[in-house]
Amino acid sequence: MLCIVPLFVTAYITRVIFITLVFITFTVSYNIVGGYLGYVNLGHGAFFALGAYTFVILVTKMKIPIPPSILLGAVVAAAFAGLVSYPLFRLRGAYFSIASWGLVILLNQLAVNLDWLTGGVWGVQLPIPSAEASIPAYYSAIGIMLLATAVSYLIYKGGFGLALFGIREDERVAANFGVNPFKYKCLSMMVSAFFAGLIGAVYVFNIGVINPSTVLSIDVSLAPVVMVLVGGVGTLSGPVVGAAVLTLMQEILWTKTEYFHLLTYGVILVLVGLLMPGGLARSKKLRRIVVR
Amino acid sequence: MLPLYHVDIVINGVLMGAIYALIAVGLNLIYGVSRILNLAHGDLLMLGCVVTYLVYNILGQTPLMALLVIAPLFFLIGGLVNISLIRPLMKFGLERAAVTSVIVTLGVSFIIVDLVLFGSARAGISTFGVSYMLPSVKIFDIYLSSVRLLSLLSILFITIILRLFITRTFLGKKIRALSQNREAALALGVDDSKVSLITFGLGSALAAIAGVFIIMLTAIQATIGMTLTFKALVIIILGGMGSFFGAVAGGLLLGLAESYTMLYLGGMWIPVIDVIILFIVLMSRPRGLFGKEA
Repeated sequence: MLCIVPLFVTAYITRVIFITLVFITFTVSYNIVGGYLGYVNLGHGAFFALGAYTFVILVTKMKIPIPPSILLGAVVAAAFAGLVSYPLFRLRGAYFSIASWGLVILLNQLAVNLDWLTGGVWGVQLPIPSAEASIPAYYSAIGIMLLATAVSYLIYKGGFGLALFGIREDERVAANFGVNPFKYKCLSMMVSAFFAGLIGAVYVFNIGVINPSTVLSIDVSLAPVVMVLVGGVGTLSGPVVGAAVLTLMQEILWTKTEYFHLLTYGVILVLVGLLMPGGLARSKKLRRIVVR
Repeated sequence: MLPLYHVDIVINGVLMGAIYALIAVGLNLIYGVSRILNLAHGDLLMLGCVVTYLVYNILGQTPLMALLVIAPLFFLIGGLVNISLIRPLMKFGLERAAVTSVIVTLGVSFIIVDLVLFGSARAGISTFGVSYMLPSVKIFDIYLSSVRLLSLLSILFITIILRLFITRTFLGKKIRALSQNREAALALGVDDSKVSLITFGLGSALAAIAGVFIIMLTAIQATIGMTLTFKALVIIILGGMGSFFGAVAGGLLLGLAESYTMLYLGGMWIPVIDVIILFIVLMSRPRGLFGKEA
């Protein structure tokens, strides 16, 4: 159904749907670590940005064609996640969360410092006219979102997901039952990063421009955290619902005023945290897929 | 004999380190007592900078005078945050509260940053600086900035008072008890929500005090909060969780490392060095230098 939409509506609406798809994928991928595993990974945005930057660097500096560059972006993000799992997963809970934020700080600073590679603060412009890119990007986004959601579903229903839930609920007990915590943490982070990097590359492909403030700003990097919270952390449909709702809300509200974006997120975080930590998907009034 | 500029770098490093140590100690205190890591800690510091800026530019008072206002003010603010946001979370149970508090304190952080961004955009300012000068002091042929010396001495004083408070007063003992063995302390009748309230206030006040010194040294922007909270985390891990001395030592080490990085690589590599240090510590000795628990 989504596939025929661009034939009927304006480019603006196509773009809005595209952005929604991007954020759905971004949030679904975050949910694997942030929701299923229970580790609030504030650094998830780094994977998104890494996929995006890798894509741009490969296309502009090394003249590699677009499709493999997008894939390589995802691979680099996943590899980075795997590498970084080693130090990061020595921490738990809130310590892990702040340390993972360090990934975004790191990438942000590297993007600014290594300006011969990344274009520094001003970034890089892709030599592809936006009109030409938007259709393939749109369809790619549909495909990737479906793929990510399918993977999320498979994880959720399968043994991998059970292991993650076990680690989330009680890590030592899970280990006693034969679950190797580190292996699952590392793998889940890599899968999570793969999709984040993938959709990050596609996002930038469509937008045509990359710089630290578009892919590494606080509101982009931490958007999935808010979205998954609103939708329901650790559920299957939660991230989709949350991302869709919030992206639409953003489109409507944020074009009215350029202030208070972050504040809105903040208020949502506080309110949901205090009043409705289950999110929309777990709300008894809206009977959705039940978690616990 | 080392070139004289090393003295300057070391002093700078020690001073920044001392400030960082204040931040880390504040965060550690709060965590030890309530097992909650306040992600908005750095933003409270940033607010401290902003208040100092306002006091200096609007009221014309010196930053050190601002300290007298800021310490109690932020003690109250911290207490307020605790009562309104943290205490309701505690009824979910400690585990749940720890996870949800990440979310809630993150939200508070966003709110604070955006309010400051909005306010500063309205006023047309993007960075805050306080240029407070005192005549230089000359020792052994080197000119030293009096502001820095004064700051260093003040922080030393504050640290000593803090240490005395924690070790000699009854409240301090309750804080230590909760940090070291929460169940035993609760079983012995320590009122954790009251201690938590006071500690939140104390930690926040420390953060804001650190802010006063920071803005005297460099210009700041509204977004430095989370980066500073991150630095505090690096220090806590470097120095060892649960150790007051570790936080101080870690802070000094990080300050020196950053100071030398500024010399050899340039200030823009400092955040990268911070992250690298964190990863190195986590991979080689996750307990930290003086850590008591893994």
